[in-house]
Amino acid sequence: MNRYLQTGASILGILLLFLPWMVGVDGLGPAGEITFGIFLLAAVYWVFEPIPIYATSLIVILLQVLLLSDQGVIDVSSDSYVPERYQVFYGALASPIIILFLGGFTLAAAAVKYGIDKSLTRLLIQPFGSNPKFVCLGMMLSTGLLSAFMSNTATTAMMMTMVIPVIAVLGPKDPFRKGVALSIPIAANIGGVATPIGSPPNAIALTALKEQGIAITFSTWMLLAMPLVLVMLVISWRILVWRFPPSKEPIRLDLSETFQWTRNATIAVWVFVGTALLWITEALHGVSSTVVAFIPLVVLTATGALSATDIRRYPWEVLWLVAGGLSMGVSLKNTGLAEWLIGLVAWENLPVFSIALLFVAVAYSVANLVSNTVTASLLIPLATGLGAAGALGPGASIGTLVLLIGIVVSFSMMLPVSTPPNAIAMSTQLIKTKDMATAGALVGIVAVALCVLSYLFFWPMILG
Amino acid sequence: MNQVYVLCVDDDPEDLRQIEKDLAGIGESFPIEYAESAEAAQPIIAHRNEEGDVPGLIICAHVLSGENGVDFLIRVNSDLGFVDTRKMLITRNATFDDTIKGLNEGRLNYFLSKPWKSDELAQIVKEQLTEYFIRARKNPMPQIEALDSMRILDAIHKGLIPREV
Repeated sequence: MNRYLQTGASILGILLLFLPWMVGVDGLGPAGEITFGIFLLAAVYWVFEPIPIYATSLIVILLQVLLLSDQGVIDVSSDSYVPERYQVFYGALASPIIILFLGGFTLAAAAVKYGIDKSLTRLLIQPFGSNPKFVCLGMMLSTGLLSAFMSNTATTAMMMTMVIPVIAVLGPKDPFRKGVALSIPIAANIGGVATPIGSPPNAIALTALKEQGIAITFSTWMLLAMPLVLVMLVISWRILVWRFPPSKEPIRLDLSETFQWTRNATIAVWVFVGTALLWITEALHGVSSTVVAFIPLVVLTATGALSATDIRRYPWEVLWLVAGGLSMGVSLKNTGLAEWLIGLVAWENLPVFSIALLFVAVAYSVANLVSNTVTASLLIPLATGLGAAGALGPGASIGTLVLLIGIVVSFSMMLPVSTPPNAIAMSTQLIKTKDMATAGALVGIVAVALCVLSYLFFWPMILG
Repeated sequence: MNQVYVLCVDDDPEDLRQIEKDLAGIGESFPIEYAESAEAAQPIIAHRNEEGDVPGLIICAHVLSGENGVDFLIRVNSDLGFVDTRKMLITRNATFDDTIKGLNEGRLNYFLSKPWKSDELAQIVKEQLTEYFIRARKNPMPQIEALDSMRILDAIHKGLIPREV
């Protein structure tokens, strides 16, 4: 069955690629029609996954180079479209935001290699004592902090190895077992929102904002997102404690320190601290976070703290996935497709607030079923199209809408397939899908409400 | 489709039944194939290949009618290209020379002598399959229930297994 669905999706994608161009679309030039085809193919492949999602991203870039660039095999130039330089599409693979993520991967790889993440967690959990309720809060805050700088997946995997021994102590009847097991993926999903490098959808949002002329620094992003993250971590903790009440039995974590201050580990610690500080203080020194991101790469490889083997272990496919989304965004804008798609709906009759709610509802639902990055890649260019089509009316900001979509997708965590942290937590067999669905839905609803409130009242204050 | 399976080859039906019993738990997550000789295993491997399945572990007795276990494992490793596949010899009476040959050429990963303890076999199979997923850098999520989850989590954390986005 699954196989038929996949074959069907593969064929459907290819048909849809050619359809707009063959049939012809009123109001779109040949370039727009081709971009429409690429957009449809990407949507079908990203959602049904007949091939891995990063492979779809690479197809997008190849199709753009072949069909829409100055090196293309067909001529799509028209009054409204001058073929883009092919370097623009390839360039997505090394765009500054991708370099920012590369810097993040580098710090994460060093943290994992020298056990900095584990030691930091031990340090952070210590003050929370042995009351199960507060130990759980401590673990959630640590998970949130780590996943703000490392991949949510790696953070979850590490935290689960720390949590499983605790759960074993709790005894099979204790409802809090489930609460603890759920607390990690939930906190990791939430923590990814906190910094630009926390999670790939943030990259899509940041790039779209930059194209709108809104340059957001590392610290501005943190200012926009951090209050939301902290409040959500505490609320999620309350939800878990309420749904899965802990007993009073104290739990003892093994917090014995194992960190070795070897030469390389010391270098890694200082590079980590230094980079983070430079990122946060961008407003003081003015060096962009995307420039700072290259420093850890240079220092850690030059000193040998990271070897070629370590570099090979980076999740490179994540960068490609994001790059495909960025590259597609370029053509959606330049060929006028985003504007045209938006023009299909008579937005003028809708109040701005309803438009935002519509995007939030779609983003939240879709991201529960498919990758958050994919959801952001498909929806954010459309949202910026609203601005180009003048559908939002005077005074409304595209910037906050883009931010809203980019952040809401990270709070979609109802199902095991919603996010990789969810899948990892499920794989330990400590929780049932039902538990995850209820807790995830409760956290999601509160988070979406808070996002919308931030969109209305908090973010406009900062973005002006 | 794209599943990892376990292949057991033993010409003693009694032993094969015992293996089946001991691996009942693992059988819930991993398809387990049984063959009474290396020749009988051939079409099973071919069929699984067509489906896109790979053997994560081959448990093989040494003394078989026809091709012996060590030769079969060597062939599986070099001719069939199942380099990452874990190979386990389970036998009552392999000679020292056979075992050495298996180690050197077949990349034999585990040697278990008959008779074995039930829970011992299940534990070894679990460890070997876990090792397979880490070495082959395969996504363990669909079949993780029968694996050592602590080791898998640690491998994901270290980036030894590709982590999905």
